[in-house]
Amino acid sequence: MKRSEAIRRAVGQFPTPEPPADLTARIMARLQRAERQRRRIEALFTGTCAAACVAAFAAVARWTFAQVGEETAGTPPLPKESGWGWPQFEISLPTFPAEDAAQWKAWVLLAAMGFVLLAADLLIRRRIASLRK
Amino acid sequence: MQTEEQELIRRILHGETALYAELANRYERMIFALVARIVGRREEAEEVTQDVFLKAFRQLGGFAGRSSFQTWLYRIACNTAVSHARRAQPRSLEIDERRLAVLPDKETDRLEEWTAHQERLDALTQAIGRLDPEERALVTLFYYEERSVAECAAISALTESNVKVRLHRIRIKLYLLVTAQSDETK
Repeated sequence: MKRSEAIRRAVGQFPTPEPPADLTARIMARLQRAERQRRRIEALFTGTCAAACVAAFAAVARWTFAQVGEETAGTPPLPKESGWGWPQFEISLPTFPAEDAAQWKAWVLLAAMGFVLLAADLLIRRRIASLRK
Repeated sequence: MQTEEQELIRRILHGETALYAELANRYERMIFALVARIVGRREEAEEVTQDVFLKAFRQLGGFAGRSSFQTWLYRIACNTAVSHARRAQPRSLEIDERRLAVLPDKETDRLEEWTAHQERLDALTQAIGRLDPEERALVTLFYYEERSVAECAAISALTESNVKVRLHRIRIKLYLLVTAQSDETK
């Protein structure tokens, strides 16, 4: 590819301004401002999301246990345990009386909520990563 | 130099952000000069140069070291300055495509005779100012900073053959602009 002395000289005729003496300082000041702003947004965002997650978890837990209460109303209470002891390793086939079924449902719902929160956590992390770009 | 720079980048990425001032200080002059030639105005060049270093800081984690840090920074500078100049001056110069295609190379070689004529050189400088921002960037990189076609390609994210084609067209465009201007003045 041929070079052109005429074009080189013509470009050279453009005045070449010197950068201001404090350009680096200005760049660093802007960078710090941008970083502070990013951290504020990040804190606000994660704080709001965390509060929303805790509220959602509390609401689901309360609703689930209220359901369990309704479904087990009228069933005789479980016998009281005599105290702490070594676990007993008895193999027995699972039975699902009304109380157990309701509790199972509650645990499944809570596990589902846990998965939803994990997904929310993943989304929040991805959002924060994109904010950093 | 490269290893020292890579070490500096690694430390910045590990949280020593104040060290970025060292990188900025090292490259600010050349980035400012390139940006000023693309955007044209000093005040805008200052703002765009700051934008370039801010963008580079945010993308520093993505610098894979495939090219030199300077080339990588130049690419960011070129893109930022060209987008800024396009927003500021959206109308591009229109030249008859047929004339661009048929003009023989011998004719454009006459450009070199203009080095002895100040009037022609002034007209050529004005013509460069009327080029599209991407074209101004290529002219600066190839003709003024005397970078190779491969370097221009790496900076402008074009293929080498594409850079050659564009430089060829720019040469013809400049020739046509200057001759048209001198025809008008006659």
